[in-house]
Amino acid sequence: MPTRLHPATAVVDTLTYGVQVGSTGFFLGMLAMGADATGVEGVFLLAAVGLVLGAGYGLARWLAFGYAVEDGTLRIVSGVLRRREREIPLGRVQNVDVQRGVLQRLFGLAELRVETAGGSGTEATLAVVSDDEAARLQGRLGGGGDAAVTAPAPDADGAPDQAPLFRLGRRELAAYVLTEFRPGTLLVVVLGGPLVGPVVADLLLAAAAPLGGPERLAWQTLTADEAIALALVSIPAAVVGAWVLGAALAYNGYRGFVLAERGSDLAYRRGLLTEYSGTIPLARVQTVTLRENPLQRVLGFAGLTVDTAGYAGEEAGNSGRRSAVPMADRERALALVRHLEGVDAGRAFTRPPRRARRRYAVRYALAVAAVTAAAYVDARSLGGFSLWWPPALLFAAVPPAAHLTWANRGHVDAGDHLLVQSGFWRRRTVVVPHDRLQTVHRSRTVFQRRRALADVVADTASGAVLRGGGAVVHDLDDGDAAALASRLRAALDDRGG
Amino acid sequence: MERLDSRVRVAWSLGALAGGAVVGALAVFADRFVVPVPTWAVAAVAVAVAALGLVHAALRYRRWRYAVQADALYLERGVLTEVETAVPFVRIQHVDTRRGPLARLLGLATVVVYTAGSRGADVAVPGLSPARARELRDEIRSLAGGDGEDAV
Repeated sequence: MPTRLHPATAVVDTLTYGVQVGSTGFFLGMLAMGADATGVEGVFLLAAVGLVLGAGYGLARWLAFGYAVEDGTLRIVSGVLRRREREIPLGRVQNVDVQRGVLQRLFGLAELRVETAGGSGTEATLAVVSDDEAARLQGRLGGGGDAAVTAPAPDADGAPDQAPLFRLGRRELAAYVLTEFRPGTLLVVVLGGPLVGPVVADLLLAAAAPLGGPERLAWQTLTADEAIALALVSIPAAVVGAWVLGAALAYNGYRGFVLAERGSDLAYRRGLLTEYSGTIPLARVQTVTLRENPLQRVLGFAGLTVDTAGYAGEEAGNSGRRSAVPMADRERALALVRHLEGVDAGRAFTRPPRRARRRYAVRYALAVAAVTAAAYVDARSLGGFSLWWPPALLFAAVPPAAHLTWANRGHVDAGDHLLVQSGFWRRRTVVVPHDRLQTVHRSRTVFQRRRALADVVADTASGAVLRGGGAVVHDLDDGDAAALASRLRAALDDRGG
Repeated sequence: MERLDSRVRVAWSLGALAGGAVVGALAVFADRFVVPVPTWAVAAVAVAVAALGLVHAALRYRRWRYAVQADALYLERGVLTEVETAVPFVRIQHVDTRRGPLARLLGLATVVVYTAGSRGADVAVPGLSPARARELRDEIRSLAGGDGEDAV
């Protein structure tokens, strides 16, 4: 007999759908009244009918939803009008995540999500169940079923057990909150700033005045130079705003982060207001990635991501759901990598050949030339704007940029692992165990062929590859690339037997 | 190393001509509604795009190679970017053959190999005769033949 979700779900669903359909009825009634098809009483009648229908649907949804863990599968039946029955073999479960919002915590409720390797989204969402039930399910679903028997039962509040692998220190939380930049918040600030209104506008105008900014915001009379001055002020302002917002979100999301080993799973818990906890089966870990931006490198911190096949691209990027150590002292992060993969990620990397650096310089110089030319043509043909030359200043940045790109790329093929490093602004060091490789590509663009360089792509089933990441060894010497590709293939075959 | 069926050049060339036609249509659209474009320029752009496409199709056919090796399906392809891919049989989840309407007209088929890897869908061998496609599919399937191991 399948279990129903917590009765609170029924209350919430009934209210939500009741209000939703009820208000739809109300608006339809208003439209009808506008068209003189009905009077006031008709509006209320439609709203009331909508309310009852919606509430009934909400209740039926709860009644129709059931789940059961039996015979090594998680079975879920759902749907009022279109019945759906899903069976998820426990052996295929990748991650189990539990999320508890402020209100849910108040009432002892939790939302449980189950991830499998296939498909693009979360495989099953149980929202909401009681805390105890969530902890019980996490214990049974985690670790691919077998381990659930041997794993010690989590304590009452679903906390990982006593000796954690990693506990986020105060300094580390501060470093994470202050040094991590989240582009998503920039969008929020840019779109949300105007809503805050005239106060922000006045501040920006005052700041832009010394640079020759406009006296007031009037798009019709704004000259190009004034617009540039205004941009010079408002872009940094938006960046700072985004940074402050991001810091607050990060603090809320990662306060009290704990990572522990529980049976054959990694279990994490974090969050100030909304609490997140979950398990990652160790046997399912695909790649481990060390992330450091320049500021973090200077201060000696690094973030760590554990990628499984479960998280589909987008979702893993979603701030709420990432299974990783947000930030750790670099040494502690390296120790964790050693613990998880048995390999030292802090070693010296083999950089690409020096001719690759010339390639980057040419690439950046061409980009700067294109931007400058576009600005010049714009200034000439549209007229009335004299500041076309600032992009040319970027030429000075080309040699250091090329060098930094080069100096942050590299790889090591060590024993059973391939380690790949790339990126200056967000340097990623990806640890790819040989036995996780799926396919091996070697590719050479026209420009690479001119300099006898090649890329090697080590593809795994990790969700990270979808995010445009993955383990790409950039710009190896052509011969080295062929050798590396065949070594990786050989490593694969040994295992395949 | 095997090459593709030469008829695939016809399919790719038709694609190039279609590309030229689309660009030409866009130029005509721009001429009508945005800025006047001389007729010779419209024609030149369309012809240039089509010609580049035809050259690309020819080179692409010349570069394409595939081989069923002892342990992996091996592919070599690409004109501007040359790509060599090895798909180990132990990693293959399933194999499909696919035939679009144009391919059916020309008597061609594509074999698609899926792995759990995130770039897995990339691995397709186009331009095979239907018989060869079936043969290749069965060959890969038997070599990939599940040893019960989890391919993830």
